[in-house]
Amino acid sequence: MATTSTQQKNVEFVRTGYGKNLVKVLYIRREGTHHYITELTANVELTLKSRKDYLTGDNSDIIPTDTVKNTVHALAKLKGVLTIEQFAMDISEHFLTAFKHVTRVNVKIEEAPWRRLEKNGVEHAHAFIYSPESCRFCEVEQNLNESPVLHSGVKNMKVLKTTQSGFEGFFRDRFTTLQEAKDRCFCTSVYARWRYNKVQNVDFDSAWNSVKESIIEKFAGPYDRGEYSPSVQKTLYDTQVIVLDRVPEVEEIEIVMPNQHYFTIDMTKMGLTNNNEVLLPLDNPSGNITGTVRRKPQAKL
Amino acid sequence: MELSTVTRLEVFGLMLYLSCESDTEFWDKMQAEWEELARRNWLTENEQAQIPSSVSPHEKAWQVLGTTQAENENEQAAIVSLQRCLELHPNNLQALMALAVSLTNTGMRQDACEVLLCWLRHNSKYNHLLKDKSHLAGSPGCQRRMSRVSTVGRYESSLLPEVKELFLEAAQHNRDTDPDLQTGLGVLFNISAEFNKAVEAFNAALSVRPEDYLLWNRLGATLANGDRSEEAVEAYTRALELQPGFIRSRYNLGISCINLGAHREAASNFLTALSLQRKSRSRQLSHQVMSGNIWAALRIALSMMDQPELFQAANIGDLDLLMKAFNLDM
Repeated sequence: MATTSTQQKNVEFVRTGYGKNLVKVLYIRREGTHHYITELTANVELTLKSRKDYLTGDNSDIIPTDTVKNTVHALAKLKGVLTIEQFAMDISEHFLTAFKHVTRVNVKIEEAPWRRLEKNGVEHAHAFIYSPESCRFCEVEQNLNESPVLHSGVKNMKVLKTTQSGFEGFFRDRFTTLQEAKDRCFCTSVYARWRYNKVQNVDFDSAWNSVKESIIEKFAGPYDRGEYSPSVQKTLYDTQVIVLDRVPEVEEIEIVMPNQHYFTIDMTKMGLTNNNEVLLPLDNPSGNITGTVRRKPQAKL
Repeated sequence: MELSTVTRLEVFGLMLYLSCESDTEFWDKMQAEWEELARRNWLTENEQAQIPSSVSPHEKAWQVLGTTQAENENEQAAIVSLQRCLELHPNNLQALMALAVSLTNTGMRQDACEVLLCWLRHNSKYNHLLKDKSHLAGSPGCQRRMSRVSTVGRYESSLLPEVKELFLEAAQHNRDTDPDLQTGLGVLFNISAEFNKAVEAFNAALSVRPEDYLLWNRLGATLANGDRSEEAVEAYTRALELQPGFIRSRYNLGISCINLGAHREAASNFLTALSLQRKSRSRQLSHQVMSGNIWAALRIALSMMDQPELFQAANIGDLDLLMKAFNLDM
């Protein structure tokens, strides 16, 4: 039953957008017998100038989502895929310039974690293994006649250390039962998302690797003795500070670190003394620690 | 006058940008433009003295475009222009120094040090200092370095200590203060966060060129980054007295206002800067000329003023509404 104009009069738009999700593509670049691949999954969303599609059922402005899918395929062929960031910007640029009635584009891309096979320092020419130790993703949001806003990120990077982590001196109230800990396991699945302050002439691969390495470096510390973490909050913040110091192209970074708890199993009822040797991984509930920092505006020489 | 300079040079630059091939008629026009600018005193005496007919107008134009873009708080564009200039003429000292400054501003510490090394190498007064340093003398690679993509991931600036040493050595050998050398020192001390030493260097440069508004701004920025905000404001004020259309300095002034808790003044300064940028937009340019970082700083200032409707106006880029709210509309 169509809405009446009286009913429509009481309604105003907040936001509209439509597109295609989960467009998957495997891109192969061949340099002789040495092959390079990027496999990605893209979500593309458009916002159009007119809302007549929503208001009256007039579809004449709608670029079908099937076309959106075809466009992603075609752009992979025409532009190639060097980095998911550049590809996302190419898609966004296309939709804003090939049409006069698209006012906003949002592109989210995740990259499949294929790792080239390597043995004794020798790389395989064309074989890869799926290595989900971390997931690389990016997002472009661009309005018509404006520069794109580009975020990149890493997620599902699960790390664990068995010592050099503690938690003491916290606030206690009548509901607090937690015991202070000087030495505990610290396990987290890191999520980090950062915004670039420039999008041209940026080595996105290098930037992503720098952030990933910095996260691991701050978490693990020196390989022989580690580095003490007084809280997830401190480790999270320290990571952000070194990222901003090392990667000038990053303007702002958000990190989320859940605290995945491992509890020492009490075996006293079995007559056994468990010296923090056998632990119970508990996936729920988990702590969740977040923080976002940005560069302080600097005076320019 | 200041606005016109900005407009003039941006259009000038656009004409240059659009013409890939050099064309006699085009260059005759360019030469005429140049002479007109000189006639109207829109070039500093320094620049006028540096236009020998042997210098390709192409290279000079990129240099001036680059430095103008930096003055107008358009850093990335400035870097591109200066790199173009250096591709044509790798030993353009002014372009090298300006590029080193821009790279420092964008956090490219190692790259900035390399450029300053090039400056020394191409400077006939000082290149003798590099004679025994074969590991630094390196390749004719100054040119290659200028146009490469930013190298993320080189965490330390390994060149910094040596380049600083060289500049200090050069300064010691000088009888008279060389303001350009002192500028280089000031930049290096900014990179190493030795702000008080940087202040000394820029003060030394200013003693030779007290009317140089760029130096006053550099002094101000150094003071600001060294947490001496009140003194920074004095330096910016002096720069703006000398060059009221100096957008970068006005942006810097706004930053210092934020740091001093004067959020209203900060917002006012950012709005003035944005409005100057907007006025300079040539009809031929369709892209944005207003700087993202000025808008970002404005949003910060407005967010601290607890006036959500103004913050919202900044989010959607409504400059006119904001100008009105601050009584800046003319």
